[in-house]
Amino acid sequence: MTLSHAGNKDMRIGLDPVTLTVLDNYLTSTCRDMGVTMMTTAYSPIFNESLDFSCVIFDPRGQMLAQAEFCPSQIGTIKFTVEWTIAELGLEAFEPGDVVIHNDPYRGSGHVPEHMLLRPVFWEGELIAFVANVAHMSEVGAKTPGGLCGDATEIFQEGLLIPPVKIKRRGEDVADIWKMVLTNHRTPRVTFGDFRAMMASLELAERRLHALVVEQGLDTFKAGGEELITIAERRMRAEIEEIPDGVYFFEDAIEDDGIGEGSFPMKLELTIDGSEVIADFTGSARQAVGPVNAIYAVTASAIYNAFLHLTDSTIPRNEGCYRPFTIIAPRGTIVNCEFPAPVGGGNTETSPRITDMVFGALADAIPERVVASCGGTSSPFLFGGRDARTDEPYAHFHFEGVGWGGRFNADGNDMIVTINGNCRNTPVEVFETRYPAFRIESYRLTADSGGPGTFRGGLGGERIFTVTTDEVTVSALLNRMHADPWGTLGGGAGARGGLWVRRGGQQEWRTFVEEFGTASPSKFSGVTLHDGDQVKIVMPGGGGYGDPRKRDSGRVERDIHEGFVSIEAAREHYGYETEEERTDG
Amino acid sequence: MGEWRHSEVGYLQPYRVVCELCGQLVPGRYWEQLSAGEQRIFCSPDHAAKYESYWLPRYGQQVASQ
Repeated sequence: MTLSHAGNKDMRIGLDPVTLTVLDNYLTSTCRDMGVTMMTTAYSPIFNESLDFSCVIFDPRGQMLAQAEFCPSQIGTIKFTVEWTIAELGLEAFEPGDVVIHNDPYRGSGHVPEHMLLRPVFWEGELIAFVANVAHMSEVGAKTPGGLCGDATEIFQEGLLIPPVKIKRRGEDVADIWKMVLTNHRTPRVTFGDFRAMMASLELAERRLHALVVEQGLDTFKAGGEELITIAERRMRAEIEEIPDGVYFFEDAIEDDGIGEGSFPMKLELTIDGSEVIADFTGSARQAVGPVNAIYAVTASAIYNAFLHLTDSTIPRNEGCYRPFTIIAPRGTIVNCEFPAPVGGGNTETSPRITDMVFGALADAIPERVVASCGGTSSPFLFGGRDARTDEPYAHFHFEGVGWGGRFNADGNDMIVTINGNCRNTPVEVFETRYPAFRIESYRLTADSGGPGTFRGGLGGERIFTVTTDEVTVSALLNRMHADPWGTLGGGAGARGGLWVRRGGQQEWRTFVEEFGTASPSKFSGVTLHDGDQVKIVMPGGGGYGDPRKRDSGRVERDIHEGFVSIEAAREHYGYETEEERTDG
Repeated sequence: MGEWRHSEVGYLQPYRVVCELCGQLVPGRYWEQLSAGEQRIFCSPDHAAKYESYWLPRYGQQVASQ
């Protein structure tokens, strides 16, 4: 049977649907297994527990063939990272056994900690594919441990920049590159182990592609890849055509940049025209001095992320999904900054805000598909020092979940890592074992933090750490401390977040501004804490969906019973009455 | 009409070629086309077309008056 191929008649190659489905599943499961390899063999918890990585397969032209369901912000950016790497190096530069390393945001990486490794796959001397992964390294040689410095003013403070260079050549380590990278990282042993895990993941993918070619033939692999891209494009366009044509607007803002006061508005004008989408950010704020700027690839990735949430999840996740989109991000703005602006928070804070803006813009057009704003911060809290047990340096990028927005038929998720991440947080036991600098005193959901609505926002939470070592250096890059996670279609806002410190012996929680004189309460780097000091992170809730007064009374009672909503808040937002009050009334 | 061109990436001058419509970097091959009286750089012919059909009608007047 030959499928029809809207939009590309030249692609009629006659593969049957079963073969195409098997091929798509094979490629996708290969990407999943690449991730499992990284999870089980890497050294750092950000790989083992948090899964802050993504794995992808490309064709020789740099077209994405398949991806697995890892980190959405990376899955969009890696499209640019790979495409631009191939363009810069040229296809003729690749040989069997090569591995290219790359983390330069001004060449497509999401931010400095995210390192891409790219390996060409050859079959009988012919380049047939690229396999790649991108992962967040827990240490990158920035001005403070872990990078993501909340007060960086240029990218050079955010860590070692690596342009696309070979770290393996024809299967052999390029010692000069290894030495240069490891010399610049505070935790070279961990970096070494994590890179090795990434390389093992690529080798697995290469073996799987070779096995596929042996079983199905090279022609089937090549033609099937093109066919799957065409199908994905056709299906994505069909989904977009279901959205009413029109021009939709939404505006939000990043609340501060860690350096000065004042917010940074982002303006989105979204044009739906048949099967085409134009996301236009003209009119958004100039780029910030501090590290909340997004590079183009991050902004584009955030738009893709939104539409992947809004459309059929069974569409093959490949290059075809992205073709209907034109993203206009004027140079020099907060959504497409110019070198050498710092970009650490663009990928963790600005990215989820952009994704939510798409939902906000389309709320009236497709109310059954959108969600209210999520907590909108990855809550980056970074720390490092020297482990007294081993005298070895350590560094960690700790992030938290937030409440997600309510949607048309369900409450928002409670305390899930924000919409650009799809990561997991590190379990308390692992955290305390690997990083004895802290003890977790408490970790809980926060009542009344979900925005009220017919379907309320998910709950945010709170974590309190106590320092248990002589000295630890901490940094932060959080948002939603001043600006509400907005509700939609009549729903109310979720609770804001917060970050506080209590020095040993003190009774009162104070902001980092009050205690240490940082410029921002939630964006700073290099603060030294000591034994007995405590940190409290409060994670924002999600916005509510729809009129709270229309919320099912059974849901309200269940929320009260579970402690998710207080009786006082239930009275205020939902008109709740106790059984006694109802009887008396 | 336009044509594909190629930009080299040097040690001292990493590429900074940018698409005039979307703002993304364009490493290696780029599309150059005469549009609104000037030779302009785009990442693809499609973006050159959208520059004329979408961008110029909306913003061209503002730019011309600056």
